[in-house]
Amino acid sequence: MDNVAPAFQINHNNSLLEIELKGDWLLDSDLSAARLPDELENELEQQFNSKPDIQSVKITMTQVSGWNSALLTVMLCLSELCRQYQVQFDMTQLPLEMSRLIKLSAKIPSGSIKQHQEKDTSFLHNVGTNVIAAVKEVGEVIEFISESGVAFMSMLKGKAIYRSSDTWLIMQQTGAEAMPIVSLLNFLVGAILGYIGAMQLEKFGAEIFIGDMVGVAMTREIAAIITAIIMAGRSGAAFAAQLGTMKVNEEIDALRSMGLSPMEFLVLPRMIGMMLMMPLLAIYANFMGILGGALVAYAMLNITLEQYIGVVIKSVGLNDIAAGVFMSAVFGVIVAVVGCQKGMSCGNSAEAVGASTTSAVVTSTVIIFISAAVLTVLYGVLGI
Amino acid sequence: MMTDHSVNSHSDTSLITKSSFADAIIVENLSLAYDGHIIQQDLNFTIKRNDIFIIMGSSGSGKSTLMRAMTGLNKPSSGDVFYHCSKESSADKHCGIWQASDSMQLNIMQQFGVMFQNGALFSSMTLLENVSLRLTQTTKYSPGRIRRIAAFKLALVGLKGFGHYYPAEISGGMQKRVAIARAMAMDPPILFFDEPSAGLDPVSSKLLDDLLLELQDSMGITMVVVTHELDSIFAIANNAIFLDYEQKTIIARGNPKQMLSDNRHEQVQSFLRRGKLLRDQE
Repeated sequence: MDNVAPAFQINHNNSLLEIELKGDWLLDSDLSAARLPDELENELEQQFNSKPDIQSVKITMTQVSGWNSALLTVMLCLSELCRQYQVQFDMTQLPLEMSRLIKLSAKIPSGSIKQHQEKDTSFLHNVGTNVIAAVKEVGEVIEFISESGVAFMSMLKGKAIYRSSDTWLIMQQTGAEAMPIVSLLNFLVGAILGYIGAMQLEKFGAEIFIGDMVGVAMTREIAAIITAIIMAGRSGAAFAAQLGTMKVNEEIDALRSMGLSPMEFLVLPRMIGMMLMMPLLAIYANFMGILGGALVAYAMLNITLEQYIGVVIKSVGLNDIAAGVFMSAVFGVIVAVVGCQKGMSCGNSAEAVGASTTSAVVTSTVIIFISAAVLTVLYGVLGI
Repeated sequence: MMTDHSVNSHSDTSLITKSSFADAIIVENLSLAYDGHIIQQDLNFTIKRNDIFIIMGSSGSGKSTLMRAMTGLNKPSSGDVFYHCSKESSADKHCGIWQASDSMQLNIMQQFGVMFQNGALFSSMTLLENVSLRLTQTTKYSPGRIRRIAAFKLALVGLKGFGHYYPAEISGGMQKRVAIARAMAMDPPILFFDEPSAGLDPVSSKLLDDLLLELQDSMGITMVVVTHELDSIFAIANNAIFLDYEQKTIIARGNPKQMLSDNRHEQVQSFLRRGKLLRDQE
């Protein structure tokens, strides 16, 4: 049984305007039928404007074969329009079910519920709100760092309550499971450095120093930075999402209610895992980057692996490796602290989890680069 | 309360069964399993048009799993759930949701709305956007008209003027009402409810029951409700089935009030009398 196209007819009889509705007024109608409610309202408004003698509107539905909310909303709009033009709207001819639904929809919600306040979107208001939020966030970060410091001290005293199995699991996830991506990216970065270096060094006949360039760059800074960026996007985001979801599911509240500190139980294993794994990953990343440079040196400059490694060993000192490892340890703390802090301060919705995950990655990346710049200058000043 | 309906051979016209126009949903030989572990089996029942049909049973008996299989969300291990092939189709043809083609399945799914246990409202959208989402995607109405329809649906559930709120800004009871408004956005002839009263205070729960009765009465909606709230069951149900955790099938069916007086099954009596057995009272 197919739908009958809806239609309407308006008859003006002295002060009475009669609207005769026909067919199926249903939500799943086609485009022409979907436009009909707007057409009816426009037509009625025109009638009101052109014929000021209209005093009442009557609806006839004897030829309506089907209706649902589509027609109900039309009725409500017509009723509103009549009220605006101070014309009587006769609903006595409407089906009983329709009248009951209109009555049900007209109920005013409980007075105890506060009315929604429209948000102030002015420039000054936005600036003020953002500044207050930024100050509040800085306060939260400082509080989080001090709380995690207290938790760390508890752990050193052997008083912290956490599961060591969690720490091993985090170490596996942030360490061993990250090795493939760390290998690939550092190998490629080493190769890119080597390629650019080869093109420049060739001009001066100093091709052999490609090992010097790649080795020192990778061990002092690049391997640590690339690995930290990977860990921020991979593990930092995971920490924020895990802790954020736990907050939404009230799991963190459940821990608190059991007298367990979420800082010790959840944050500490993640921070320990990340702080221990980052330097190890950075050392591994050094080798992969140097290997990437070796491939380019061999392919572009015909430098054998033996010659290349010889130059690297001569040029890269323990101070370079130590500088890179220390830098990676700092990055590990940054990724862990930011990821966990964003997760713990997450709101109570799915959207908030997404926002805190994004914020964790962006914030960690920014802080990583700022601290890399600071440490580089510091190394220079200290002569490391 | 099985209704007679002849079933065509599944080998030739596998997804069509013939039945009465009065049957809104036919569940046939349905078995539910999770990781190879049987939850419920050999489920056969029919839901009449305009009924408020309750699926009840103890925790873990598979009530929500059954609802998910009926709504096309979780595939059953065997059997099927039959709905009218489309709103416009001839009255006596029902199509199986699990054997239907993708387009037919979509067609069938447009015949029902689902209210999930926690509301499952989209937190990034306002209440009005939540309710109007399906209207925006599947109808050709103007944005203004869609807003009016969505606002009307919110008004029907007692939330007139709350369209610009976000889900996080309203109470759990209000979220449930928004979920009902969203489920009935397209005026589906069938509505599914998963634990609608769970987590609500008795007054809110009673208001929700009254709302369901009013909507069923005014709009002629068939409602399938998964619940173990006894007050709600006795207040709104026309018909019900009782799923048993141990026997893994239906052990009672019919009107809950009649079940209470007529059914002698110990599990059913214990459930309907909050743990007190009939023989204890006798």
